[in-house]
Amino acid sequence: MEKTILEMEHITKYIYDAYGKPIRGTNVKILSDVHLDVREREVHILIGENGAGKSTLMKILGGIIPHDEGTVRLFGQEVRFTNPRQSQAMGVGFIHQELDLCLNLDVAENLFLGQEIGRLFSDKREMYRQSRLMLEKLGFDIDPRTPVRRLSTAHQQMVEIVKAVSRESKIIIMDEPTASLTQAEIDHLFEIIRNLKRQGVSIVYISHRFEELKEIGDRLTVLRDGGYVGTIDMADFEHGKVVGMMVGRELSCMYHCSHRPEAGEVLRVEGLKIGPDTVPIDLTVHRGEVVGIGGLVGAGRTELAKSIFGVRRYFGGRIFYHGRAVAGRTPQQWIDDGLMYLTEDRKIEGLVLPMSIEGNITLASLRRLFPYTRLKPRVETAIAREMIDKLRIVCRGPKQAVNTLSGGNQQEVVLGKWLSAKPRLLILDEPTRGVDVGAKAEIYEIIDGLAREGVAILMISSELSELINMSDRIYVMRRGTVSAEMRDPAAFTQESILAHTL
Amino acid sequence: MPIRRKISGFVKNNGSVIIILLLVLFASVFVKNFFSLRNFALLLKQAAIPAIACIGMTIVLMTGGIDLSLGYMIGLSSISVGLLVKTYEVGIPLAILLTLLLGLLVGLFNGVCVQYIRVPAFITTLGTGYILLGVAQIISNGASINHMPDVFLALGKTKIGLLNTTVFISLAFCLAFYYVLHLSTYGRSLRAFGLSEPASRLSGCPTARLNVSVYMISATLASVAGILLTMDVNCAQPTMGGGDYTFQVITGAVLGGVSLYGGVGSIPGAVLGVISLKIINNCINLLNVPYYWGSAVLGIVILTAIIFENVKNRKL
Repeated sequence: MEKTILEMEHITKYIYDAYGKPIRGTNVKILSDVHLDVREREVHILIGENGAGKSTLMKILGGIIPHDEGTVRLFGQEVRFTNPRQSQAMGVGFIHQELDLCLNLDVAENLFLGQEIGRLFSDKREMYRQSRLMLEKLGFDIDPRTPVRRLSTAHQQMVEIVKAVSRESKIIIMDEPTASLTQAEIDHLFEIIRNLKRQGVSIVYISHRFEELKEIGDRLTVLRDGGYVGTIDMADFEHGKVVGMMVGRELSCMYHCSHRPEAGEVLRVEGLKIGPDTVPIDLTVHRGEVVGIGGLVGAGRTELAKSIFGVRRYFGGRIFYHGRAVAGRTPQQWIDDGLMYLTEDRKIEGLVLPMSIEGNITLASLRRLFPYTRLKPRVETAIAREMIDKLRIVCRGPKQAVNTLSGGNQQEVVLGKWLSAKPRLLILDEPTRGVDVGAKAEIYEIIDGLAREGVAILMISSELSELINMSDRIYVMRRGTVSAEMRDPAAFTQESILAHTL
Repeated sequence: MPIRRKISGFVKNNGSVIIILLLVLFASVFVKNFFSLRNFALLLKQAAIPAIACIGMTIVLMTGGIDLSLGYMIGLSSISVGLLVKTYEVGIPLAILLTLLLGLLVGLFNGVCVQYIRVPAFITTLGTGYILLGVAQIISNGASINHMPDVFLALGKTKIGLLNTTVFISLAFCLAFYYVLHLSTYGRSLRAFGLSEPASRLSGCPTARLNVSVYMISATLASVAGILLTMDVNCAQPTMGGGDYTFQVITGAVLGGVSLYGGVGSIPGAVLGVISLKIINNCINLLNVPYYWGSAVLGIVILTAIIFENVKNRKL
């Protein structure tokens, strides 16, 4: 057996601020007692649902954020990285999901970024020569003079790999490297990975695609909700077992499901293409119905929601609202007509963070509440108080600034904003992301209550248990289109949904 | 801690009031002839017209934009109203109306460039500013127009007690825009837009229209300022206002606590900021500080104000 080169033990990370420092006085853990050990010449797969802590763990290894508790041993030596340079120097290469090359520089300049050859002036010719050698060694056909901007994503990825290899990395982290690659490109990537293995490099590989894992992986570690579930050899890989490890718990008491779908059709989408080459999407939502949309991040769920809501260009297709064809509506027009969209991104798109709770709650209903343009502070405060009571928002009062609230309470403020705007169809994009368990249950109760009042709900979610327990119907999306519609709630299982997402 | 927070909160919210109180106190003690009714009346008269321009600038700054063409718009509107009244002998009400309309159109152009063509406000208004200056000089051949009709002058220069009508016109604008910015849905949407464009757009605020409207307000108020200035000096000049004026107005707004990053600011603050600026000028004059020192002092004031703003915004 190959020797172990990296051991991460009992790694705990508390929720942190923009500088990676733990937020004062918090006891919210995003990683709790996690283990990871990587052997020489192995491809170690890291898997888990969204928010399971994979990226956080890798950020610790990559020196982007420090860990709070636990130990990291690299080549037998205990380390605590405080910046990425230190981890690079120790032989850790990180290929991020969002590639971070300088688009305006050429390939060679990127490869030698920060380590240019030459003293006062960089020796371009030498850099090009060495770059060409490095590229050839890995079998890439890229001209080092090409500006990175002109390369395809796949080629950019290759440059990243060359960069990681050229810095004599012993461990290379690949965060969803195949997310934007075609099959041929994936095959090439795997060839390179095998090649790297032969050269003695270990790889930590994050991916969701099961078929790939079997092909390339040696061992696999599963994380769930920031905790460590287990590590298995790929020889023991069973699809069902791994899915079981990924999803684990069943929290059925959290869910309220007392609503009944009614007959009236609220929204119908026909042949909507969210990209120029994607397969058209058809979907319907009825009164009092909770329709779930499952799928992986990047499957086009948010794009679909934004296309409907009129904040994103789409490529053909028709939208019917209450039976009438509508086109080219702005968010303002949709909101006036009762269609609202709770965004996935709470802090940038959902809330005006420095503004008060009441300012945020009334923001979407200003025109309805104050048709003569004059604000009535008393009316505003009353509405905010009503929402604070109804949604049990923990705060000092309606005038408190939203950026001082916890994530769950912030989310409830966003919900309050849409509730007070009287929705007829509410699109929820990851309504419980970054929200603790207690607040989650409250949000489910609110969603159920809305549906009981006849509001149609379209709920995008990456949490399978949430989809299964809340939805009356589920559409699963994959590669920019709906890959399956599941009509029978009794048949909703995590496995059946996952089967359509992967 | 709570007391400290209370004090810091008060300083943060009332920065301009504190600045002006300190300035008045300091000036009253150390500057001869400062503390007199006549001097105060003079101060108000000096602040009245820049205050109107500053309201427009404040509203643009609320969106996170900036209007560098404001000073040149003053020049263009001055010469326009002068030409219309004297050369083309258009009736005074119509002349004023046309000049305001010109401001509205210039603002529309600025707004459309910023919102729809996505040219940064800084560049757009810098460009249009020079165009306006050019146009003003072309239509006037670079010459000023003196001796405006008495009826025209009377609109701004009639005394009511110690003060000019200009001061009261300015006050009316301040009150009207206090309503607009602080008591209306327009002002609320504007604030939300300035603090977070995506969140306000997705909450149904008409962000595109808001963004265009602020430049229209700014340029129109600059026209008002240009007309009033023409009355004040009894002379229509194409070079009235100018870049220097723009920067004075921005300084006033920043002194009054308006953030250059958008979303933060108030009309009373902006007006007090302008008055503070005029107090500083006034003291420089009264103390017989050499003329050339004036701008250095102003520069120090601007930097101090911006540093103060940054520090206070960092410590939430």
